[in-house]
Amino acid sequence: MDELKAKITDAFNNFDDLKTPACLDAKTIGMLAENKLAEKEMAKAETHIQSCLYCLGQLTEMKEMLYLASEAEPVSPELEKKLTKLFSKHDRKD
Amino acid sequence: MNEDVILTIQHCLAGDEDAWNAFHREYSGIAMAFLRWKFPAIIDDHDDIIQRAFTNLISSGLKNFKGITRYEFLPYFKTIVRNEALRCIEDQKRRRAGSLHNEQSESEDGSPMLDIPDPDAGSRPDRRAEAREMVALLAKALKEYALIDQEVYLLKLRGYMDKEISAILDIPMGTVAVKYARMKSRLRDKYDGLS
Repeated sequence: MDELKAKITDAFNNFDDLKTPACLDAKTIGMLAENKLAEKEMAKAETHIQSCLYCLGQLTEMKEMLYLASEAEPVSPELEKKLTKLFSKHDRKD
Repeated sequence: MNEDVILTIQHCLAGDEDAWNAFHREYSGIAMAFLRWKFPAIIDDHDDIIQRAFTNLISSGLKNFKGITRYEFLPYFKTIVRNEALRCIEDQKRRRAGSLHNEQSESEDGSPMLDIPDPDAGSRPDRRAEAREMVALLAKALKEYALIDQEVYLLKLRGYMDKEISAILDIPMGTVAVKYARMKSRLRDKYDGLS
């Protein structure tokens, strides 16, 4: 099982070519993850994902990020201050 | 989550400080949640990692983002934070290697003492071919099953715990365990390589 996990991790780290022209775009994946697609589009997207490992991986990653976004809490006031200061430090002329 | 992150980014790029403040207040929390979730072992470095990620964003990251929806921005943002976390881990390894090197650079038989990962391992043709075969086998095996079962199985293969999968997919932990056990058993019966 560990060996299989390592191989799958390898595969996902290295195979952008898993993606095909038929693959779903990020917006469709996101809307599917949040159940915001219309019924017909939802069925079409699910049919594709069911046989596409690349999009299945994208869907699980999107669900993970949406979950984390829902769990986000404010950072410490010290860090917040540092992040605020970055704006004035940054030279935006470029 | 703010639906208008793309608009906020445009305002940041136009020099609107309020937009920047709104942006970092929302997204620093997401970065922190991500780091606690994926990189708990370096908790003391989380603040520094977030600071570096936002420095990257303000100096070029926001400008280089080409997407038009928050669904595109989220993975982009995650990649930036993850890369900073990985850089932090690499720096720590390098520092440790440096201090060990000063004490003793080789073992008694002359082989290197430290296990430094080969950065090109993933691009080796044999590894790529093996992984490609594995993916083809997995794709063939999974497509017969319901989408939720596939999601559980894939997340488990990628090292997530039942508790984490339950949170991501919003299903009870018991359901995760049952679905995974069922998938594993079905696939073991059908395909030798996926047991």
